[in-house]
Amino acid sequence: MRTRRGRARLISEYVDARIGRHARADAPEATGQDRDFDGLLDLARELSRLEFEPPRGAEQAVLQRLAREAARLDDAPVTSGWWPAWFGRTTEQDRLPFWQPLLTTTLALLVLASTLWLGTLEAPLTAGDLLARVDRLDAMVSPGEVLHRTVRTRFRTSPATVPVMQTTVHEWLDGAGTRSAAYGYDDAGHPIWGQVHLVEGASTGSRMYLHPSALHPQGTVVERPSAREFAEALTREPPAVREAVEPILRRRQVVPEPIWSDRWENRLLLGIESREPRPEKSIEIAPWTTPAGGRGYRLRLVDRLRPWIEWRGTALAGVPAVFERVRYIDARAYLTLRETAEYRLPDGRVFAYEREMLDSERVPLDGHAEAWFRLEVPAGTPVRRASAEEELRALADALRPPDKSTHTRENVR
Amino acid sequence: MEAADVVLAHVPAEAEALNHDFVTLYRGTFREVYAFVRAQVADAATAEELVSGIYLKAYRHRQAAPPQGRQRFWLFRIAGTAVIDHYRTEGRRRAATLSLEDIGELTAAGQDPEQRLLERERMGRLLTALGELEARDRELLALKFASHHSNQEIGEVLRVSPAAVAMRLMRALRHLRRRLGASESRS
Repeated sequence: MRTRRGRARLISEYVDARIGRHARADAPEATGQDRDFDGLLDLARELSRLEFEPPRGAEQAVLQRLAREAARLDDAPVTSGWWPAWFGRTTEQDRLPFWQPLLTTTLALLVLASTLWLGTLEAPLTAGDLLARVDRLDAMVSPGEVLHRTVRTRFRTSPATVPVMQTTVHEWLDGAGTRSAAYGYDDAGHPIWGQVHLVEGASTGSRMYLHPSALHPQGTVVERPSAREFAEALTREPPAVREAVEPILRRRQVVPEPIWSDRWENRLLLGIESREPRPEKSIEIAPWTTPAGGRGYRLRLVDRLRPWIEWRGTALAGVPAVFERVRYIDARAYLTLRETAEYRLPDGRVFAYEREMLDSERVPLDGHAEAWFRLEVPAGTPVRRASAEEELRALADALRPPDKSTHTRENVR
Repeated sequence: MEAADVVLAHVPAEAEALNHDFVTLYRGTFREVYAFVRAQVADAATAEELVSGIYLKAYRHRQAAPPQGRQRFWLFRIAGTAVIDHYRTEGRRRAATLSLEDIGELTAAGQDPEQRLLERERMGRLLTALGELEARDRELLALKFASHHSNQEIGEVLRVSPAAVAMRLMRALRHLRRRLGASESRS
């Protein structure tokens, strides 16, 4: 029989080995000699199977909450005396006359009541209303400022041809929507890709740089045609192709607009319902409450005929896919807080992604922010560029019904 | 620029209110502190709330923090007190209200749904029994099994020797087994 001290040591060693800490080759598994001891080992084994992972985004969310509280603490003036010495900083509120909290509470209750009352008076929301309010991004971000957003994304394919990719994306947008930049980083902070979009006149559309990886050992630059190139190419296409593709181009579904801009995405989603209803598309708008208890909207779009464009070797190919997107929008700023989207291809492949906004802030457009709009690519990186004609044909192919060889507006529908 | 610097450089602007050292401490300990708290409370939302309070308290008292390297032990002492305070205000009622969904979040998925269900039930009983333990047993088991501390480190947090930690661990496991036995005979 072991001593109490000896048993305690063995159990600790066993637990450390189970939880992968200070692993020992000779950690006891089960001795079979001592029932009490073996029972404790079994219990330890069970406990070590529990995993306590924080929910996704919790670390960032707590940090933000903490930062807000800390800012409040730091802003508060420090009073002297024994109180701050024992309990840290205190605020002017500690010295307010007794009636001040009462007045504040009464005012807060009045504001709350009127907010609730106004909420009940609100007219039903229409797509047109939302669309108009989305334009407020112009007012939100003035000249000399840019909007910086931090977004968490998760991308997966089925079957799993590439590993699930989780990235933290930093986006930079100007209020006028003339340029945007986005940079994706993996969980270790290594850059995965960068993308810059500039409107026509300033440059020629968008460029994306994929950093070297197993899939792109030398890295790759992907360049997209501009809106003008698409428009010119369209005039050279046969009428059937023009008719099939024009509605998509008009909705700016493929032209390299600032793809990371919610403004553009929301315009697209809402525009489908308000301007161009198509039987293969459906969109629902419903009220939604944000995690912080604020007002928001849930948008669900199902498009049963959405082109999926992919590279096959050196050529582009278009595949008709079923697309579904659910987007949760904060009513205050009309920015997306969360989104899930999925392309389902006829051959069974699925491409799905999730996005969750972690933070959004206006920052001055100084040299630091300006640098994000200059995509730096190492010399000699291979470039992939499809012509506007190629992209249009790939689109038309995706929209062509399998049993018909011509494109008409009727058979696209 | 190091990867860690890149991450820190992209911390939201609000977080600039916190100093660099504090953010480093936060990043380096968040998962462990979360696990330590989560093992002792009924749901993830409560755990998140408590963890937020723990770091805020640490931030308030950062002037009193020990030198780097020992700060994590100091942080876990704050966390231990926060959980005890939570139990005082919430009672054991909350710890005993684990739903199957709550437990699902904490257990690794098995292949067989029936096995998974059994596993969840067993884990549920285990966590409920853990929530019924005395504070010092519960804290010790959470430090060991949730945040994966060595006896030496636990000793630093609880200010006892590693040998005493080993003795207490065995005792805590025994108490837990007794609780489990009692709950199984009740059910």
